[in-house]
Amino acid sequence: MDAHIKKVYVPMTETGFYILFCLQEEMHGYNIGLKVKDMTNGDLTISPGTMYGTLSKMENDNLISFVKEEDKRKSYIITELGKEVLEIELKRIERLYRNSKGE
Amino acid sequence: MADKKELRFFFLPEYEEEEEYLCDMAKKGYLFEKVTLPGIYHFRKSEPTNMIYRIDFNPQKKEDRESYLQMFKDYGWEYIQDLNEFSYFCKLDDGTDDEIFNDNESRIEMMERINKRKMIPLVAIFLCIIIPQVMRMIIGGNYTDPVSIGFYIMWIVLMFMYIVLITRCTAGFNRLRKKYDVK
Repeated sequence: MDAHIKKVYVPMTETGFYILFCLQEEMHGYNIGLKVKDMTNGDLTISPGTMYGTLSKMENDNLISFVKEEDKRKSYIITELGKEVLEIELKRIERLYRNSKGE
Repeated sequence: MADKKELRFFFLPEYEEEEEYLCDMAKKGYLFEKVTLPGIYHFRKSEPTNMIYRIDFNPQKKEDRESYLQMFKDYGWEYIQDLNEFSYFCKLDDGTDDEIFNDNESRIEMMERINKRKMIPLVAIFLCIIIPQVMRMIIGGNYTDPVSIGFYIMWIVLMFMYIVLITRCTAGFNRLRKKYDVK
């Protein structure tokens, strides 16, 4: 993993994390937003400007790849590089959680 | 009462002021219809309305345009128009989700897109065209005929306009960076 990816995505924003996490399944932007809202009991709303910007950026950086366009909605799925980044983030968050619980 | 037209000028980093201006006009009963160069805002007379206006800057390839607009539509934003690659959206205030960005990181990213795509060309024109031209004229010496003097004055005025523009934009971007707290 090159330095640019590490610098930009480790650690990730909460929004970025949830988007990448959801894209372990193929999905389009608006549906990601709905799913995240559901997962966080409505606490985290991803707005369209943020959603579009994050998806374009992740696609450019090869963390996700474009799958298809249906009814003007673009679907994406995580790439191998994206999975690597997600794995690093998950480990970091697990450690954060363990330490905060004092386990 | 009649519709209204107003002349306003917002600098590159002043899109939040512009949004606020449009929201205020709607509250006074003037709904934003369109804006045309050099900054003429057209309003339609209506009842005072709590309409929210937001401006995004995310120039994309032609083939990505439809999916971009569809994303905003899915979220309940109505697209109004583009000007200078800025996209204008509106939504009736229903007390929820009145922002198009939900974190400061993405606000900063939009600002940096404007900086890169609009500000850098401005500075490049200033440094590569205007400054060399003015220098050449100053060194060039005596101008006596009215046409030459006219050009001379025009370039000097242009230079000062660019200085004001660049200074004001740079200050505005710095203010935004501070506001969004870039590391």
